[in-house]
Amino acid sequence: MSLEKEMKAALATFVEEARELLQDMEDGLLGLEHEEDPLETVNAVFRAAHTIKGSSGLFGLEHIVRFTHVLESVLDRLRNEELQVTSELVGCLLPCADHLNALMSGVAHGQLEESPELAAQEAGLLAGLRGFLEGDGGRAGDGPDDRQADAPGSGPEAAAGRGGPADRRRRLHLSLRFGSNCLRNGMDPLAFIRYLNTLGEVVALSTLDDLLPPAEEFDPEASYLDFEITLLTDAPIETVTGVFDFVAEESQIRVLGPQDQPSQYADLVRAQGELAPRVREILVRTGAIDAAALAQALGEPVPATESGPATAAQPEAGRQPEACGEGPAERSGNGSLLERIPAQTRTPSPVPAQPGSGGDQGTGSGESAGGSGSAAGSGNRDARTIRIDATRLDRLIDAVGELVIAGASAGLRASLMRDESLVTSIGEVMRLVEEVRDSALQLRMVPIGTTFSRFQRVVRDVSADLGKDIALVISGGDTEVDKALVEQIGDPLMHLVRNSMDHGIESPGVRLERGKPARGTLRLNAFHDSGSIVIEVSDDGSGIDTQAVLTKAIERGLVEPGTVLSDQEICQLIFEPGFSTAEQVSNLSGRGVGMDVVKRNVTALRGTIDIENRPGRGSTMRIRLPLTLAIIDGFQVGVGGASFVVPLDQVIECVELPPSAHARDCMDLRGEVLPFIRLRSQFGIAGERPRRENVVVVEYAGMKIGLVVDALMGEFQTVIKPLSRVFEHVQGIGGSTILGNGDVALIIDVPMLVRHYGDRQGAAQFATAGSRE
Amino acid sequence: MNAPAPSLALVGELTIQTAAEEKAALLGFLELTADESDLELEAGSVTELDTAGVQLLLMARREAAAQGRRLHLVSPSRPVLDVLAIAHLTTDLEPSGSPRSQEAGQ
Repeated sequence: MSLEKEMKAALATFVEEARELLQDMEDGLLGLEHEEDPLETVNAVFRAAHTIKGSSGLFGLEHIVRFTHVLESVLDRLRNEELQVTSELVGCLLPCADHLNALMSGVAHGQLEESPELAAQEAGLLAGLRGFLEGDGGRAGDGPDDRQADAPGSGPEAAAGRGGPADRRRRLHLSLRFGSNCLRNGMDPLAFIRYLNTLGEVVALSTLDDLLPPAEEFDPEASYLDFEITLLTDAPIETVTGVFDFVAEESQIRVLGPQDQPSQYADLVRAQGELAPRVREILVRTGAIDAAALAQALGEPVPATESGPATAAQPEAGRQPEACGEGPAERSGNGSLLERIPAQTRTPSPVPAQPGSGGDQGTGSGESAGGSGSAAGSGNRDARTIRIDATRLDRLIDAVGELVIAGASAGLRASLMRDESLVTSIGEVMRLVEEVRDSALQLRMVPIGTTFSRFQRVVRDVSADLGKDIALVISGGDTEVDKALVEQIGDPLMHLVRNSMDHGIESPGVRLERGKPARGTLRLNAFHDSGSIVIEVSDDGSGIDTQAVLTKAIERGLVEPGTVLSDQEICQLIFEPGFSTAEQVSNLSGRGVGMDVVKRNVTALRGTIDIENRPGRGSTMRIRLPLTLAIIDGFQVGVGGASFVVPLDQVIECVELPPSAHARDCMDLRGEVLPFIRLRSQFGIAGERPRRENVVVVEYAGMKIGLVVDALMGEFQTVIKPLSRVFEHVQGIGGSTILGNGDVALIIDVPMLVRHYGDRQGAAQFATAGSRE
Repeated sequence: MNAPAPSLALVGELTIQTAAEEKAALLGFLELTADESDLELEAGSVTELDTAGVQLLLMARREAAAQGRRLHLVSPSRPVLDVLAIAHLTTDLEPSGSPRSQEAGQ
């Protein structure tokens, strides 16, 4: 059913936005202690909590509303400076954000009630929060609802516009002016009204279409309809206004109840601009307020008998506050909006109407003009970013990928036909395709900073757990990475960060002994480097004790005793499955799971990880990942009958294989020794070596090697298609692609070859070194 | 009133997703049928209706009214009826609804 589907989609949006808000909240809380003037941050955190509460109410997630309410009350005290920012308070609030996150995950999985485990957790958190509510002066229960519970007898003034005792059904009047961008932002006004039906009984509703512009100005995606609703409910006004928290900023939502003074109804009418007469008429008709009382509140001296319906629908009526004349009050049917036109022409209103006279009415319409102005302003802001379903984006990227292949194929055919003009136009098409490809990929790029900033929290919590003092320094946060990569790199980074904190950085005592500042520094850095993104996790701790690692590796049977390994190789041992140097198994890392998982994850992303070790001074873990997962610029080469593609950004140059190097594994490249790998022998390709061979010089992570091939076939764009699982153990191949002529080419995994070569070379070196000793 | 009125069938969703196209379709329909006085919107195959759709219908109906013509919603589907009921617009947009005179709101 469509209603259900709609609610589901809305719920998904809600969860997503709530998570973002929670992230903001967490960031804010983490920053609190370090800020000189935290008020702004406190306000932001409060707003986040408040929005979550309101939106949860909209979806009837009572358990979230309940919990957030208490949290909000504490934040409210903080905001009113009744509480001081202390690390104790932050320590209490952070787990609350976590808890909300857990609740949101539950909601995302369709769990609209609270689970018993979470409820138990929540009880503990609530106890902690209440501690802060009951703090000084016994001002217990400072939350809005609590206040009402404490003082149910407080007069109508106290409850005005805020809510009242929630024990019986009251008649509320809702005046809803939705912001013009609501629809565009995925908020369907009717969905809110639908939800109101669950809070109580909608006894009257008028859809006002007065602001619908004429067809030529009608923007089908803007929201024009306004609603006046009479709701019979026992829910507190808070809950009812909370329904609209999602749109509160750009909309004008007013809820009035029986306890409100006539002056508040008068304010409501004054704020309506063009709609004033209609709203007034509706208020009176639905019995929200007595006509005479309203007239009096509007500052109209004595009910006169003249009728002003003729002015009601005229445009200037809105601009002129004096024209607040009554609309027709006689209604037929169920309050449908167009009934009023015939009614208008048929009978003079039985409710006396008179021109308004109060000067303050001008303020009313002025306010409303200001309000719509600010709505337009926020509209501009919204237009700059749009939310897109990730699958739609993926579909676009897929299509662009196919386009690239198809374009390459067309280009090939054109050049075969030797039709100059065709080649030129295809060249132009390809240029555009490239542009489209780049922009499409750009769409997926997000700054890595958001991922980094999550670690502020991790570092704070973990360093507290470990009794260490660690500062996190983030740089390169604006480096952009493919969104899919960002999502998948979070876990490996988490392990690295924890590992550095656990094993790398020493406790303050030890640090002081070693002449280091007591406070350790953990550094997260990111930058682009020749078609890769490099992410570094560095610490200024003790570095890796290579001797200990080697001993442990031998103990674990990972290395034969007596093997000679370079420091770099020893460092790589920590990525071996089942390896851990932790003398104590802490609950963070050191269980021997983690580092090998890190390596596996990184490798799965076609990336590599290496370690720069500075014994006694710290270490740097460097993850190198391809910028994007889908499309690369490739350089096509031929060996025998087979085609291979080398990622172009790893190619440095191409040279002919000098005859002198035919029998060796290295050559002289302008005075440098360049080792090379013969693809023919590497992949066991049959066939005679041609008389002339070429060398493609590739570089990866600062190491250059040559790839010996038969033919150089030029650059082209290619979409990486992953190899099937059967081939996942094949080394040196990163994927496959389809060439313009329909043939399949294998994509060379340069990092793997370079490493493979390095291993062999390293082994050879040690072999010679060993024999010398 | 019994002469066969030109009819436009609305199909699929009538929501923010399709509002731009539907606006063009509705206005095109009004233009095409400029000589006729009574128009019908066949809404039996509308699968989804939201606020954007509702205001489109209201806009079209008002445009028609401005030309002294009537626009009826014919055999609305369940989703349409549900939404019209929520918005209390049932009597406005149903074919049985009383004829509308011109509306001047801008």
